[in-house]
Amino acid sequence: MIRFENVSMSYAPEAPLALNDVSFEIEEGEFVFIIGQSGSGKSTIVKLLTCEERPNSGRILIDDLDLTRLRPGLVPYLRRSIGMVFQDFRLIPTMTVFDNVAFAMEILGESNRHIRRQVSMVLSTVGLRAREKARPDELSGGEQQRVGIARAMVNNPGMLLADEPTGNLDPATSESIMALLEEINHNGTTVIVCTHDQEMVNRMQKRVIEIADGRLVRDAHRALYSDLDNNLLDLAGGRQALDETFGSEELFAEMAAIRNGEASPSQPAEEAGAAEKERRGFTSYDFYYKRR
Amino acid sequence: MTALRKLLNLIRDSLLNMLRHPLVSVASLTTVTLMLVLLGAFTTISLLANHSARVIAQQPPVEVWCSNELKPEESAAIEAYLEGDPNVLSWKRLTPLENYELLRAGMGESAKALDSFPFEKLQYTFQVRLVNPEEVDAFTAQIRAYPGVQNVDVAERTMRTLNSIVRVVNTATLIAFAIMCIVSLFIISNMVRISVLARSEEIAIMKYVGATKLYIRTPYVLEGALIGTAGALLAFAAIYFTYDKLYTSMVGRVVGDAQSSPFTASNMMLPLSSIAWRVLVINLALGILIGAAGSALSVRRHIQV
Repeated sequence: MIRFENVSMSYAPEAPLALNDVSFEIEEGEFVFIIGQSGSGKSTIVKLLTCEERPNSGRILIDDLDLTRLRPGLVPYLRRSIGMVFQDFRLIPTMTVFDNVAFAMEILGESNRHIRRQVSMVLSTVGLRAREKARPDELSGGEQQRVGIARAMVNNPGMLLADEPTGNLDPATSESIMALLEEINHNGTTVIVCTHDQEMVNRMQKRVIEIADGRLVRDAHRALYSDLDNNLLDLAGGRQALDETFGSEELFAEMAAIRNGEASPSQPAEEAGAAEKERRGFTSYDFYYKRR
Repeated sequence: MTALRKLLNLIRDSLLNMLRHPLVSVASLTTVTLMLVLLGAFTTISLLANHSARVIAQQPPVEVWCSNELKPEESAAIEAYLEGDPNVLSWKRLTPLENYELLRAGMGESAKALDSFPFEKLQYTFQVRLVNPEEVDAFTAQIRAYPGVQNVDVAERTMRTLNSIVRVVNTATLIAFAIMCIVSLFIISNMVRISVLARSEEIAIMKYVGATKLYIRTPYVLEGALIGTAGALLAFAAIYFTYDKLYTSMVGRVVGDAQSSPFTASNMMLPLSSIAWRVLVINLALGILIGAAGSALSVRRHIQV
């Protein structure tokens, strides 16, 4: 369990607060989006969780471990229990895919045999087993992000922090990356994703913690990106329609069209879901939930 | 087992780091080598300057004046002391007659005035050359205690001048050496900083995946030490062959006015074997130390977790 208790933090003594009296709890195994505009403070939460920064006041707990009192020498050991995924992938360009992932295990002094077995398994999970000898510049953005996720997962961390993981990816690739993160979450890993990818948040319908100007302004389960989206959803067919055709591209397209004033809220959401099912053979809802 | 595996990984990483960034490695190696060539050349020059100053300082003998009635057993006791003192480089006993001849030779055409001079009135003397002319005071105190010794003539002004020259050379050597070391450390540390900056992204990733400071720092320190060692050996080779050529061409050439003069190249220059091991030890010690310390300093700022 992760608990923020009245956490405030500023990057310099005279600077405005990057986080202002923020409190929330995340249970083990949850999938949480932390959303907000650039500079709102969501990345600060990631930095506080990895002890890259320390709060000015308040407490941050991971299970019973108080991060605000953690000695600097123990920070590396904390980070070994957290997988990090970045917007810019952060792969070492001179290393192969295999070495980029193995690198995280070598630090722990694992045996070569164990590294070989574990890295191969993780690369298979992210669908890159055949590309283990490639270098990052030979991979697409989506593939590079998969390597990043494989590196984050190779030591079986209890928590995965992803800071804008789809920020540099096209929508289709983003969807597959999020599906991978969700699969990791279903295996019991707590996943925290900082993003301002509105469409992705709306599609996935997870818990949303919204930060604005350093303050927590919304903490809602099965939520959309914004209240505006909730209104648009109502106009496009309502919550029930979303539940039934979860992730429907047409539904969200309609919401966007309504938002932009290009369409009137006349098409029932159920029909959009049916059209998607006819075209793809399954709805996004099926893809995310029914196949499990 | 885990610790050994980590160490082997670190050594492998430091070697791979050098290969992954060949230009930075070559630039660092070149800088280290050039600095160590300069340091080695300076070491050689200061060793030669010290040696030459000492050779010159050893020339004006210390003259021990004894009674003109010096008994054989008293002379034998003084000779035994001079033979046994490790600070005595060489000595020569002059009888009153020999001193008389020297006096005559020194007077040139006026020597005839000494024709009727009774040479027996002149004293026995010992001309002594010391290994460490700066320790003349101790020598004087010892020799004065022997029966028959009347006076010790140190040619003090010359001796003092030469002593102060040796001291100045030694001090200048130390100061210049310290300055060169600081300059080398600064340059090498900057070179390593460039190398660290080129890999700052890699270091950031290492921190995120849970590498400790020691784990991040060690490959850089090892790499610095390896570059320092390679640079030291290259610099040593350059100095060795240059000095060898210089020594071969200089030895035997007369610097003074006669082949028997003490100021020949063979006297003034130290043999290669005597120079080589000192330069090698100093170069290796400084190369490894500067390489490792420079790397450790440069990487320190980047590894704060």
